[in-house]
Amino acid sequence: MQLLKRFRLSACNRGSRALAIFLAVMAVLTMVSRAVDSLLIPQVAVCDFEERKLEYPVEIAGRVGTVGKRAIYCQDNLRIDNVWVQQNDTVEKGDLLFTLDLEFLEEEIRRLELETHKYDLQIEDIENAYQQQVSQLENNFGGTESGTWNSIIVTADQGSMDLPQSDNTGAAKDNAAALLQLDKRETQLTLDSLYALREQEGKICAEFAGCVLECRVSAGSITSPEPVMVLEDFSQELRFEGTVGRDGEPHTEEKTAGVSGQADTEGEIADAQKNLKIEEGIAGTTKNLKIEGCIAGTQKNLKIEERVECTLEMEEGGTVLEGVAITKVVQGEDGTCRVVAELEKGALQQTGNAVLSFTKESRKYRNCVPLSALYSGKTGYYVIAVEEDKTILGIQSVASFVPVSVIESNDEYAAVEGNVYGCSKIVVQANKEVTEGGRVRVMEE
Amino acid sequence: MLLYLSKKIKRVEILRSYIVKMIAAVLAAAACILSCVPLLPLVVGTATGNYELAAYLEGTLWGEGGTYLLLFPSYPTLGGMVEALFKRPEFYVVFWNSVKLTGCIVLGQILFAVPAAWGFSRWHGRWSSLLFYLYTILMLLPFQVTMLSNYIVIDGMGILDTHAAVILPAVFSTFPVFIIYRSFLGIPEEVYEAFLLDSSSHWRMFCHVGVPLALPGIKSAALLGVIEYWNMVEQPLLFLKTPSRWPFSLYIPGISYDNVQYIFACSLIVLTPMLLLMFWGKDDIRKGIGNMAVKP
Repeated sequence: MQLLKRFRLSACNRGSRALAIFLAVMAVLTMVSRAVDSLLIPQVAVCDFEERKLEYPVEIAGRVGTVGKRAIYCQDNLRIDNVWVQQNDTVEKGDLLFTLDLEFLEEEIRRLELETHKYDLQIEDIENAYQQQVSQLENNFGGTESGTWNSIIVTADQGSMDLPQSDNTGAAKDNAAALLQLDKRETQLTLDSLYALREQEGKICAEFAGCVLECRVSAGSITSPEPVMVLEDFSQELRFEGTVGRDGEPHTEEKTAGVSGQADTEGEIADAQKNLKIEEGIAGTTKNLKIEGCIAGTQKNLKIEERVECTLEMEEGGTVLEGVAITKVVQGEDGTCRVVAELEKGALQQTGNAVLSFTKESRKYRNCVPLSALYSGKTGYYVIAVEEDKTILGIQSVASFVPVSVIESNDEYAAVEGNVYGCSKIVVQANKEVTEGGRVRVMEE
Repeated sequence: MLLYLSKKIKRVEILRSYIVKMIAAVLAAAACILSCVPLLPLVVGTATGNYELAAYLEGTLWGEGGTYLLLFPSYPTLGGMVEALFKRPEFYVVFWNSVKLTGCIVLGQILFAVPAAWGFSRWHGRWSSLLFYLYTILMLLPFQVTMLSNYIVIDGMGILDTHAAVILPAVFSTFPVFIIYRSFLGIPEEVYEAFLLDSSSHWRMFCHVGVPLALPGIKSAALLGVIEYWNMVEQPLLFLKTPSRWPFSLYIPGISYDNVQYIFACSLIVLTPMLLLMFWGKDDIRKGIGNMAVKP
C-alpha cells in the first residue's frame, strides 16, 4: 500500500498532469479530425466496367403517304363558294370537298346558253348567205343545172368559165359553219357539265377515301384548268418516307422530317457532336473535362441498311406500328439520305407525319463505361479508378487516373481500351473534386 | 599595512571570482541560446506559408539552391497547424502509434529492468560481476550491430511488421537496468540489514525498501526511455512496413514543397510532450544520472 501511495503521489506531479492533459486534448482532436475528414473527403459513386454493345437509337421523322396521288378537277371559270376541307384532312368517299357559288354558276350557264344561241344564229347566217350566192350564180349561168356544187365545178372545168369566186365561197361556207358547230358543241359540253353541277347544287364531293395533300382554292377564288385539290387515295398502298440530312438537321421536302443522329454521304449516322456538354474542374494542376454526350469521331458502324426492322409512330393519334422494314435507302446528291419503308396493305388507315425509329448496335466491347465516368485532360481521356491502397490510415480507397483510348461511344456509354484490366471500380460521380492519389469514400448504394 | 594589503588582495579575488562567474554565465547563456536555435525555425516555420517556406528551403527540398533561416514570416498563417490538428487524421495515426510504442516500451522496461537491476545489485555471487559486465557490453553495442540478428529473431517469431517487433527488443534494453542498478547500489547496506531484522522476505524488502529508495533512478530511466523511444527511427524503419503502423518519426520526413508548413506544425506538436516532460522531470533525470556516478 505504501508503495502504491508513493507511486500515486509521484504520478500526481505537474509533469504527469500536463502530459495527461496533452494526451487528452490530442484524443479529442483525433475525433474532431476524423469527423472533419469524413466531411472533406470526396464521396464517390462507382461502377464496374461493363461488357456490352453500344446502342444508337435512330429516329427518322418523315411522312406516311400513299404511293400515288389523285387530282380533283372542276370546271374552270367558276367561283368557289366554300371549301370544306383543308390540307391533311382525311376524307371518306362522298364527303363534301367544296361548293360552287350557285349564282355565278347560273350566270355562267346563262352566258353559255346565249353563246350557244349565238352560234346557232351565226351558222344560220352563213347558211343563208350561201344560199343567196348559189341562187345568184344560177341566175347568172341560166341553163346550168343548179343544186350541186360539183356540177358547178364540172361545168366550170369543161367550159373554162371563170368561177373561182364561187368555188371559194362554197369552201369558206363549209369551214366556218363546221368551226362554229365545233365551238357550239364544246360550249354545249361545258353547259352540260354546268347543268350537272347545278343539279348537284354546286357541291363537289370526294369520289374516294383519302387525305387532302394540297388544296389550291379558297372561298371566292375562281377555278382554273389546274387541279383544285390533290388527294391521297387510301385504296392504294402506304409508305413512309423520311430524309436524313448530312448535317444532322431535319431534312425533308416538307421540312417536317428530322432525325436524332447525323448521316454522311454513305447513309451513316455521322460523328455526332450534339449534346456534348463539358464540365470543367480542376484536379491538382490538371484541367479536367467531364464528358457528357457522345464523343466526336467515336461512332462507328451506323450505316442505315435496308430490311432493318423499325417502329413507326404516327404523330397524330399515336398509332404505333411494329416491325416496319426499311425497303429502300437512297443516297441523294446533296449528301442526304432518303429512307423509304413500305407498309403492308391495311396496316394503317391514316397518313400524316410519323417517326420511324430503330436501334443500331455496335459489336460487343469488353470495357464500356458510362460517359459520366470519362474525363478529358491535357493528355487525353482517362477514367478515375478506385483502388485499395495501404496508407497511413490503413487500407483506404484512393483515386487513380488511368489513361484510356475511346474506341467508340454513344450518348450514354463509351467503349475504352487501355491499362484498365486491374481496375474494378471507376468513379461515375463525386461530390467533391477528386485528385490523383487522393483518398475517396465509396458511397454505399 | 599588511592588513590593508590583505584586504586589497581579498577584494581583487572577489572581483576576479565575480568576473569569472559573469563570463561563465554569459558563455552558458550563449550555449543555451545556441542549443535552442533549431527551435526557432521550427516555431517560425509553423507560422509561415508553404510558398514562402519552399522559397527559403529550396536547397533542402530540391537539392539545389540555398537554404536560409527565416526569422519572420511575411504573411503569418496557422494553416499548417489547422491542417495538422483538424484536417489530416494521418497525423493522429502516427502520433498515437508513437504513444503506443513509447508507452509499451517504457512500461515493459520498468517491469523487467527493475527486478533485473535488483537481482544484479543483491546477487554477490562468484560470477555476478562477470555477468553484469557482459550484460553492460550489450548496452554498448549500437543498434546497427544487432540489427540483423534482431531481424532474424523477429522474423522467426513471426511478428515482423507488427508493433511487437519494435516493442519486444526495446523492452529488454540494458540501459535502464544499468541506471536502476546504480540506484539500488546507492542504497546503503545498513538499510537492508535493518529491514532484515524485521522481515526475512526479500520480496518485501524489494517492494518496501529497494523500489522506494531507487525511485529517482527508476523515474530517470523511464524519462530517458521516453525521450529515446519517442524519437526512434531505425527500429520502425526496419521492422514496420505497413504505413498505418508507422510512428511519426517515419511520417515527418515525407516533406515536400506543398506540405512544409504542415510538417513543421507536426514537428512542433510532437515536440510538445517532450518539452513538458523535460520541464517538469529534469530534476528526476538529474538525480538518476547522478546515481550512475555512485561507486558500488
